[in-house]
Amino acid sequence: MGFIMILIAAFFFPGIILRTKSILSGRKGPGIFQPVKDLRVLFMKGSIFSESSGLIFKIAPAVTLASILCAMLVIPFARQTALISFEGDFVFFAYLLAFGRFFAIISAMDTGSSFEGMGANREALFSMLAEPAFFILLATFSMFTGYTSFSGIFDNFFISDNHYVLIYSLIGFYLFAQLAMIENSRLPVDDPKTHLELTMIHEVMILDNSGFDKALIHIGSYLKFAIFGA
Amino acid sequence: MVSAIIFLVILFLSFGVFIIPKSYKYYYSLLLLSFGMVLSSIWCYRSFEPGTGEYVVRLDFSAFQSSFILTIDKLSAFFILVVNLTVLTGFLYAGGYLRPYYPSKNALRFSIHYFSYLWLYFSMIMVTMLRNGVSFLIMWEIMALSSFLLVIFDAEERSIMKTGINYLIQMHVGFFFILIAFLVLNKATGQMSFDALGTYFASHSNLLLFFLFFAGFGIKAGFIPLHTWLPLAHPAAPSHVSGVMSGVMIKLGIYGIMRVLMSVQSDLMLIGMIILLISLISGLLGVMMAIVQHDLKRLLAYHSIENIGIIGIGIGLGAVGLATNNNALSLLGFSGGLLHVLNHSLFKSLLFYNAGSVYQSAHTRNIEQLGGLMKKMPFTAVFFLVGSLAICGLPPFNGFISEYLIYLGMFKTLSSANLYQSIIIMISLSGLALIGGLAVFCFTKAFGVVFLGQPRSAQASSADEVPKVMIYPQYITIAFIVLIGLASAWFVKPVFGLISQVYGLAGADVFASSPVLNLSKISLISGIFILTVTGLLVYRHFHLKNKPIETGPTWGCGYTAATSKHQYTASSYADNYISLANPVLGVKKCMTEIKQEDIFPVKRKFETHSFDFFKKYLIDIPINFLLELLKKIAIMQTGQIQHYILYLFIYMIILFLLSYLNLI
Repeated sequence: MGFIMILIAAFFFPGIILRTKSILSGRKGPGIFQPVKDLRVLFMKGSIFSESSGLIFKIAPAVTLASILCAMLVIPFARQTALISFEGDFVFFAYLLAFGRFFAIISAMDTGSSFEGMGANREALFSMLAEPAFFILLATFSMFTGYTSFSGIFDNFFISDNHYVLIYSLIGFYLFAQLAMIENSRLPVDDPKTHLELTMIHEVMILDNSGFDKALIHIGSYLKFAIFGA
Repeated sequence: MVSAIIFLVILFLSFGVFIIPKSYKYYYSLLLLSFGMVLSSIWCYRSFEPGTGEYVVRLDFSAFQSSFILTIDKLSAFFILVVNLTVLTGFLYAGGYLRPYYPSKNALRFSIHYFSYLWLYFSMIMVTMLRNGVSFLIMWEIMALSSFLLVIFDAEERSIMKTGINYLIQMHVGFFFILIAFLVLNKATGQMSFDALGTYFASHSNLLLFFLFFAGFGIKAGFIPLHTWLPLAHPAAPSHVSGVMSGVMIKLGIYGIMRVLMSVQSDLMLIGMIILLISLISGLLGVMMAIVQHDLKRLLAYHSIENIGIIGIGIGLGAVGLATNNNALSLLGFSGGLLHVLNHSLFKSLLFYNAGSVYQSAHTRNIEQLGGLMKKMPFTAVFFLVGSLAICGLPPFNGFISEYLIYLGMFKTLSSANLYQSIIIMISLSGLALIGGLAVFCFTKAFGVVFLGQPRSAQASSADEVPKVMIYPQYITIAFIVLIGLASAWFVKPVFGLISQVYGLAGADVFASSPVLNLSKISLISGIFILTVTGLLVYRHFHLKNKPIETGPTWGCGYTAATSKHQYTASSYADNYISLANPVLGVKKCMTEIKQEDIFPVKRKFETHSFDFFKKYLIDIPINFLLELLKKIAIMQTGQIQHYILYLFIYMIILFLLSYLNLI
């Protein structure tokens, strides 16, 4: 149930964000279905592959998307428990996302482009620095609640009547939001809407992807966004 | 009795390598090796039979009043099985790897190589089976000597000989520590054996003796700051030897530490903390230094230090668990560490074999000169990729399972820990997570630069896939990597059983059940993951079937005349990381800055030098000091016989005076 809700939400989040941003900056902006329409266009298109790229470049988008989909299995949504929940499932969650990221990075390296190398390198660096923060945060959560799984931790947050938990959880969620900024390549870490290759992180890694593969990558990043939202 | 005789006969037959014709030497050694493996595996199997938990092979020589005793308990059995597996794949790989050397090296060189390989194997398994201190030390020494002979296989190169001697000396420093530890033990208890440790520890200070052992075994294992031989010896050795040395030989240091830790009775908290601290530093610095290396095999060697660090974190947590009577933590910590011993032996040997294949076909280990090898060497590339994913601890491969156990141990203890403990656990937790992130950074660099993109030199573009003989044995290793990753519960259960028996953890079955359940869920999601990937790829295949597919140049921002030199190199990949980590690493950059008035480009040079803090301050500077000192003493060496007679005379006068004054 929660799983499907994340899936649905994922397709609307980016649209809503785009719309809000546009309205705030005084423009009209595209409708909230625009990302879905974009995806449809990409699905219809053919593909162009770079001369220097090989097998990795072709399979990486699928691997990355699959890793995100499977990582979603352990995420609880709202008050529901996750589909599969076990002790220490956030270790699995973090490492599975890292698996997808590994492929995204090497697929960028596969094109032999210096821009994409740069993006790959930055992605690796930032995610490396974010990893300990994520673990410390979850360790703190699990210390308060005494549970070692996503579902356990978040259930107990809502049940507990200890006033301190509220304060801690506010701080915790602030940190979590910061992490989400890094993971989803948002400002101030990265600006997905920039148009200069040198200043991008995530977008520059996928410069050479096209058609179906690009659609998969987009779905992946929407889903990631929704996961951290949940 | 019978099996002991068979074992001795095999040992004796190994000398036959020297008289067999050159082309049959390999097969003869393989035959002996497989006999040894079958025999030792049978012993391991016996030791797992219910009952005492030990299997003793005994042969008495009543004429000499001595006996040959091999004791196999579950800990030894585990290490023997790990050794067997890697030594076998290494030797099968060597069959192809050594072939290009056949014309250039004579039969004696090959005999020595195979003979040392056999004895490295025999000494490794005997080290785990011998309890008596003297025979243990003899085997420990044979292990060092035979691996030294293996390292200097290419001794025509001066640098390799020098590295080999460096290695030999450092191993003897380690030997010296273990010897002292045994002598201390002998003085106190009158026995020189691991079995006597229990009585010693019951009545004496535990800390000192443990750390004597730890220093000796730690040099073998490569804990920082005792690691300096590792990054030198591994690149110098032939690849199958580096695989075996890094995969299993350094683990015998871990075996020694675990064996001694079995008997330690007090000061466990302090011991555990110090192991934890040293391991954390080893893990972090190992991988941090690995990132800046340009030599593929040296990069892998630094990763061995990192993985020894991870194993050590597990063991340290286990010891902390023993100290606080927290059996769940001990069980998970020790099991994670021990399972990582197996896992690391698999993926590290795999990575070394493939690094060797790259070296053999591209004739360089400098990753800046490689690139685009995936198209030329698809098997090697895929194997290296699997190894990289596994070593980064990513699911669904085996490295994740052992790291998960260690993480789980930490998280489970966290909720019931006091402030002091939770600080330790938090630090090691974030350290372990950072190690994981850094490993991903390092292996995306290594794999990306070596196998992807365009070739960066003529050597790399003329590379070809290695012969099948070198590829087949790697399937064995891959099979285990995947199997442990997917069916982890099968492997973890015996390890749990082993640990709870060896360390006497009461009620371990109760704790063990929930991790095993978790592991089966991990297997489930991993299965779903693999299915999703295949599903998506199959769908992609059919989806793209009737769509136009083109190939075009890589996007170069409008500048299409890019050459392979424009690719992101390993140095540039590591550059922003170096700018963060340089206070610790001390990488030197040599270049001339581009000035504003330079209008036309001129030829420029750019060099980076990595530097090992511990090597400089612990090895190089003291050695140089010693050399200077010895040079000064060398004034006495005049070459004139009169002077030497004078020295003798002075010496005798001193002796006379001393004895006259009753000083000696």
